[in-house]
Amino acid sequence: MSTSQQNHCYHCNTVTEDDSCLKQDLGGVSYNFCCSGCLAIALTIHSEGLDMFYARRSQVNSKPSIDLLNNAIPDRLLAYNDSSLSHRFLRSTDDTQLFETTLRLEKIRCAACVWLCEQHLLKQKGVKSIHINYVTQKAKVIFNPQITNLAQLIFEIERIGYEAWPYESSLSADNAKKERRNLLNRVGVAALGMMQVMMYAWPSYVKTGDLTPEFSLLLNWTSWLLTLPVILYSSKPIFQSAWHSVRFFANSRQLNMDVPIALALGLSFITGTISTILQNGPSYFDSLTMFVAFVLLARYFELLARQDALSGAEALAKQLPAICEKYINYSQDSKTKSIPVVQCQLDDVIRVSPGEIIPVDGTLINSSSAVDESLLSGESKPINKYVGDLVYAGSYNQQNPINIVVQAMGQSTRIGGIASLLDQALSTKPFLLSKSEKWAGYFVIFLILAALFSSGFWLFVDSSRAWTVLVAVLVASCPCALSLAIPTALTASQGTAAQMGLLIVRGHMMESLTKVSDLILDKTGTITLGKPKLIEIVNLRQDYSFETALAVASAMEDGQTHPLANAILEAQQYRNIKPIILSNPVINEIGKGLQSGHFRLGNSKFIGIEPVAKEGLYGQVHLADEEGLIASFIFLDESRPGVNDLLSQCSQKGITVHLISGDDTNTVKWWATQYKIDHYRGSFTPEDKYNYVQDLQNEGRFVLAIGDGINDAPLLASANVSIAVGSGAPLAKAGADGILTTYSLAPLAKIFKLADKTQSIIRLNLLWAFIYNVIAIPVAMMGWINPWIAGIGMSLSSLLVTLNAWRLRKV
Amino acid sequence: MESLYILIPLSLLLIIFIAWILHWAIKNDQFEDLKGPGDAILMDDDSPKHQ
Repeated sequence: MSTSQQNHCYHCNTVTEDDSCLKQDLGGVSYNFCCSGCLAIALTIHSEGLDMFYARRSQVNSKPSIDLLNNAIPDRLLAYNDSSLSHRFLRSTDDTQLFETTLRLEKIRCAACVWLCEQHLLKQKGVKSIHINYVTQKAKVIFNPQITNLAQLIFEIERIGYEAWPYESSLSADNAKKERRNLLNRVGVAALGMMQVMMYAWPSYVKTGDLTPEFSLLLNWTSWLLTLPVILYSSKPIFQSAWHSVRFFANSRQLNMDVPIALALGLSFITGTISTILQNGPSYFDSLTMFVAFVLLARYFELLARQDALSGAEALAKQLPAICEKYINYSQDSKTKSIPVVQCQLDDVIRVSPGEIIPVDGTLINSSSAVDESLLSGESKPINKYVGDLVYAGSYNQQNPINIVVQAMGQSTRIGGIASLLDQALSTKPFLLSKSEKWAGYFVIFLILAALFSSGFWLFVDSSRAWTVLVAVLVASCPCALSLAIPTALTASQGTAAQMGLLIVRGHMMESLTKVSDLILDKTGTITLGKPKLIEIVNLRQDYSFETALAVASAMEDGQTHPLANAILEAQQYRNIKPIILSNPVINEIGKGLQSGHFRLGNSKFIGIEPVAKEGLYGQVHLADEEGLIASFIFLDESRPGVNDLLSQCSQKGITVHLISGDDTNTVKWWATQYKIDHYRGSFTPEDKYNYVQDLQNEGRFVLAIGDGINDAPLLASANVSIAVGSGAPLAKAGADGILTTYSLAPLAKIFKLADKTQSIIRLNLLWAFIYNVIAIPVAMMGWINPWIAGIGMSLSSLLVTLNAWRLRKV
Repeated sequence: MESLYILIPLSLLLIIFIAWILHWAIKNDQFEDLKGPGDAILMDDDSPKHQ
């Protein structure tokens, strides 16, 4: 064990001072823990013999946010057992005793986490089986409701440091799965057909003398038989979409990419069939099937990426709690019942405990509290709400239990309005057809014209060769290398970006990043963490020291949920100062401060002094007794690591940086000067942010936006390219093109370089495909093409393109 | 070379069989999670049970 002063928590790796940390003996070795929550988790894991988790995990766990000390299932979870919810979350199985449910997991970070969750749940009574999908982070659990229940399952997952929600499968999710499977089936058939047809084509390429006409005939017809399902089944969506595009040409005045592809496929299959019947030339079925397989494979990857993106409405459902506590009869007694939020009616009275998310828009009655609206408005400090004030769904209640009269639910809430603004921004976002895709489109059209022209030419010179040349031009030119050039490079760079911590949701991201001219940064939650930190204590009275003042303050703040209280307690725990024992109970005067005997702790008005003049502060709190001021505590917002790396990369590339936020202008200004950002705006609503981006875009700027809150969602959606910071709101993620999963912003600087490299490799790939075609097409047009050489050339160029893209795996 | 008259129909049967397996695998969620199971096999605790 380390004997240094600082020790790392065994579970979450938080640094603790030697004396303050908890020690626990697990299997003969003593370990340090930062808090009782981490200790409880480690004890649970140890008691089940799952210690191997700590050796195998590849990322450290985060500090548990939920109090795990008492072993009882909290009330907020018990509501999930309500019979009115069971039809939404439970599905029957073949065995009448057993039911199936799907849980959405959070905080799963590595394979060891998956393993731990599976092992821990399997050890619970009544759990029959569990399967966790690592990619979608969903767990399918089959259990016996007689022995255990949904609340118990969720609680068990929380007990080992993860979070879970019951997942209600929606119609759109089911359809997405069907679409995915359908396309994968088509890709599979095309790939099998391709491999087999190539095998049958081999003898005709090598031209061994043994190949007598009757065997050649047999091989040709077998190839034809195997190409048939590739054309009729696998390529069906291509033909359908092409037909659709042609039919509506009169209205839309444009043809999509599928038209030339369908034309090439149809023509070459018909000519191939004719030459098989007439036995007068190569059928090129191998190239045909290969082309279909690669086109469909590229589309499959595109579909996967597209389905990862959430719609605004779906994210809204994730953002708000599913359950609320409703007073059965508010005017008569205080009995409450947990009901699903969807069953709430207007003018119902509901109760929200401190630390919970408010599920509806409503007015406060009979008590006041402080509410954190930072996700909704970007305002970093909690706002005091008094009786009669409106509170918004999606904000956190921080201080007191409150009662709310329901004014709006679901889509009609303030957050629902932001979600629909997001959907609107997403739908009007110009579809970014990448330059390289446009190129490919022009190339295919050129190819068809060239094929028709040369076949027309041969019709006059030697009509017997017209068909052969037509097909030779269409197929011998290298559609494979061309169709592979972009998807392979993008797939490889997406993998590398994911390793660095950026998940790419929309495929255009890498190309767009190279074009960025302006970067818009959100303040709260993006460059700062929206979490205050005690930086200094000023105005200290003679008879008090730094430590004693902090000891008094932390004793008074103990058990408070206000962010400044947390910051004081954190500082006290970090410095390992023992709080004093107060002789009088602490009285909380909402919006002002705390009082215990003659000690008073609160804002400057409450104490009766002038506030400390200092800019850019998160806030200040003053401690006084009957003799006057004892000390003033000064807090600063904590900044996110890696901001400087990102900003220096931006100045290198000549990108203009803007800082805009819903926070007040003075604070924003202070942070802007801190980071030397010239353009800054404060007190911005989500609509203002949306308009700010539109104005920039109207000036012809190409905007990258980075944000985290619900209020950033429309901003992220309307920017040309956008990144949501990982721990942020699901709604923000829905609007973004990429999601940063790391705590620091530093990887983004590297992502810029990766994007440049990706672009240069795509260009190189296209250049290669172009050169190959410049040589191959004239040869095919002259009718000199030799299928044997064409086959090798095509395979080699495809291989070259793939290997070139592979270089992006390392940066 | 006459063996081709048997081998080629056989290969066709084989490919139909493989296509059916593929279809079965897709239907049974085998392609839903391509990352987890690969790691899961490394997590299996195959050290001898002590106690």
